[in-house]
Amino acid sequence: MKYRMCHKQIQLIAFILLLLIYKSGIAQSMSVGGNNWSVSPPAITEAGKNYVGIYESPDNQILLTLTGPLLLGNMHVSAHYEANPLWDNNLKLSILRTNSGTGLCLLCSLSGNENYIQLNTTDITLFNFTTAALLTTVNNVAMKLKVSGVSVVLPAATYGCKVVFTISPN
Amino acid sequence: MKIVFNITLLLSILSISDVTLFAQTTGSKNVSFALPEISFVDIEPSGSLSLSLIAPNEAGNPIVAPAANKSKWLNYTSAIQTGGGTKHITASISSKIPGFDIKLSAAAASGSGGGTLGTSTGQITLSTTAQTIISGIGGAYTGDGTNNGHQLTISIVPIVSSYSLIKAQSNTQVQITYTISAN
Repeated sequence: MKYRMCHKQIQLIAFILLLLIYKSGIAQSMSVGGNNWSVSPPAITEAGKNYVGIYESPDNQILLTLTGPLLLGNMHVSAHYEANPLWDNNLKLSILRTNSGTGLCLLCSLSGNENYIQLNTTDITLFNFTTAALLTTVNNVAMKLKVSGVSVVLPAATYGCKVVFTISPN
Repeated sequence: MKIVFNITLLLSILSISDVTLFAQTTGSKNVSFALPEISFVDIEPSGSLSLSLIAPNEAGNPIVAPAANKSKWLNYTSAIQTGGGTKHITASISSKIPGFDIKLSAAAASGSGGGTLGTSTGQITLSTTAQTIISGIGGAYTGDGTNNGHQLTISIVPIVSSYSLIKAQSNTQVQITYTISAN
């Protein structure tokens, strides 16, 4: 009888462990902080001139908070843009990771996106996030944006897009 | 008791699981900017130009027109609304000089510009009524300064049929006004 009870307990513990392992693959999370970016191209004041055409946000325009899963995890952060409501294909939006964040992050690492990566309308991987401890959180991973292709050749209008970030297991 | 304890433990873990299952894995920020409609035109280099008629040195000969002046370049920047029409540039003079025509033509655009640059009308005789000299301008910029945009050729020509109106005069100033407008 004692043996059977122990067996049930072992089964339960095994189930819990399986549940934790299962959870470890899906439990990463992310929040997107910082600010929306309102670009202000300087007004043209001289006939014949065009806009400079390339504008960059502050280094810490967007701040990502990344949390790893319960167990060890290898994840990546990807991004794409969505017209909101009007965008032009001649406008190119790029993104750069300017730091590795803050917080207690023993034996974890961020790698990639140390140069500008051009965003598309479909997800593209920006950087990898590897954790070696339980429930690791990295705060304030700073992201910088760049828009190029701004020109008087584009129709006069208000342009906007939404940059969507996703964290996923590798 | 152990079974109750185990069930409680399992429910607790499932509860944690529910929280993490719905953890946020996406987020977004917006990017926006506005590009206004623009219509700028100017002449480079700034300043006036002189066209000095040459008196005949032989009785019976007419007054001689000077060589055409090609020192001026027309620059413009244009941004149009979505679905908006093109723009054009007109020229007019402040007054006519009796017995003479002032003629102007704009060459095809050259230099460092881009976009939908305009097309020259060709040579026109300027009057106090604005006339189109360049049309079909879309979103475009010519580049700034000399050697950018449309080189202007400006000349003054005696009108043979109005020769009787010609009078000796000095430093008669005529202002040429250029205007860019939507069609």
